Amino acid sequence: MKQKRLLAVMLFLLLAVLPSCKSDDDDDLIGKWYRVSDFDGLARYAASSFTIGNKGYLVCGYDNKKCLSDLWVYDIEMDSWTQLASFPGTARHTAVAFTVNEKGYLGTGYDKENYLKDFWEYNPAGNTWEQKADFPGSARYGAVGFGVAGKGYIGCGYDGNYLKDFYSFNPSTNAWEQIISIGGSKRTGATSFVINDEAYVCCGLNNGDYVNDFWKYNPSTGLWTQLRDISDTSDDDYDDDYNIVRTNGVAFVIDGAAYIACGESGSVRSDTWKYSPATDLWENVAKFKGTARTSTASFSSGERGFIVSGKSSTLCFDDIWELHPYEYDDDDY
Amino acid sequence: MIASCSLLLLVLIGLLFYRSGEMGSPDRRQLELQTFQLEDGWGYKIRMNRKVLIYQPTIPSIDTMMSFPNETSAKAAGSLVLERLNRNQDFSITKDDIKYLFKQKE
Repeated sequence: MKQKRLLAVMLFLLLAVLPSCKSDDDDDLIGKWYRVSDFDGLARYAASSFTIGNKGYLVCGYDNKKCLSDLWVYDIEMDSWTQLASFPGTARHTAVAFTVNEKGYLGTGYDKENYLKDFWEYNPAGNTWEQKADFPGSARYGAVGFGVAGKGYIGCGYDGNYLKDFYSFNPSTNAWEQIISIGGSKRTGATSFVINDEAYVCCGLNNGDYVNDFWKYNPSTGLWTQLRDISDTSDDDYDDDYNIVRTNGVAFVIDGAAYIACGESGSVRSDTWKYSPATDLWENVAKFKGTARTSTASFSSGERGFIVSGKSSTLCFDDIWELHPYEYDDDDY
Repeated sequence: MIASCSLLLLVLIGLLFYRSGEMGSPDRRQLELQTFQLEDGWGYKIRMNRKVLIYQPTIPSIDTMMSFPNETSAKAAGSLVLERLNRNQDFSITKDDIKYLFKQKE
């Protein structure tokens, strides 16, 4: 009798343990997220990031108490961090950063009191910051920017109103020039990525609407081209499952395809989408494995992509994750 | 009966062990500070569970490629980072930290 009871208890325990071992079978999307560093510390959100070669730079942001100005570099090969020269301008969050010709650039943002329009260059060779010509548009935060074909670009954002004006910066002349505004919606919290010397801008928020128009900028013609919408707006079925729109999402590029993850649209997001420029189509891939979050930063070497920091309600994150796009994850999460 | 019981027990123990591994062991951070010599000075490393987490060959927060002038200053800065990491504080070194560290040394 005793033995029978023992057997029953064990069977019960076994049944309690078993379900968690089961992997999801039907919804297996390609991609596997790895938590790559146990670095508990650089907790922040709305930080700015740029990547030069195999190094990801993380600067500024907000830690729920104060605006930050420290600069850290993550060595993708070594998986280690080094603290560099702090950003000398006003500590801020929601600034724009990008890389042009092996130098980092950072401008605009918000210091909790003022919208900002100053613009700075970081030179990794000397570990130095230098102030450059101010961004010529209105001071703003939540702008979108990218470096492509030897120039930097900043546009859109929020200055009390939603914006869509765009400007280019030429590092060799230290001069800004207004370019054609992005077509379609004004937006803040948009996401950009660069593939084959063309820049793409999507997502973002306009007056409470998550915008679904998607644009490509060609720096040699100076023209914007509208691509297919990123929500189910066509009669065809390729976009029936599109659920891409969001604000404060983040992107990186691996092997000529872009990946968009995290962000928010009412609630924080973890679903991840892959964009193929050749087909102008999006594919749902493995969702981000860390806690769903928004306002993250990313490192994008062109071969490897990382998501770092971010927030969920009032919680700041400090973990760093890498997507291996061609693997599958057996875990159910 | 006893055989099936013990087999089940083994399976159960195995599964529990597997799950605890999957879920990750409790956060046990073993932090360690190490200084190292460079051509023109000193730097520090912070290791967590034996893996280098922070590799600091230059003086943090200031515009320079210079390393620390001596082992004492590298160790002082590294200790500050280690202390803050252990207290779960913001461990970025500020310009004021550097001023303070070098003033103390003189």
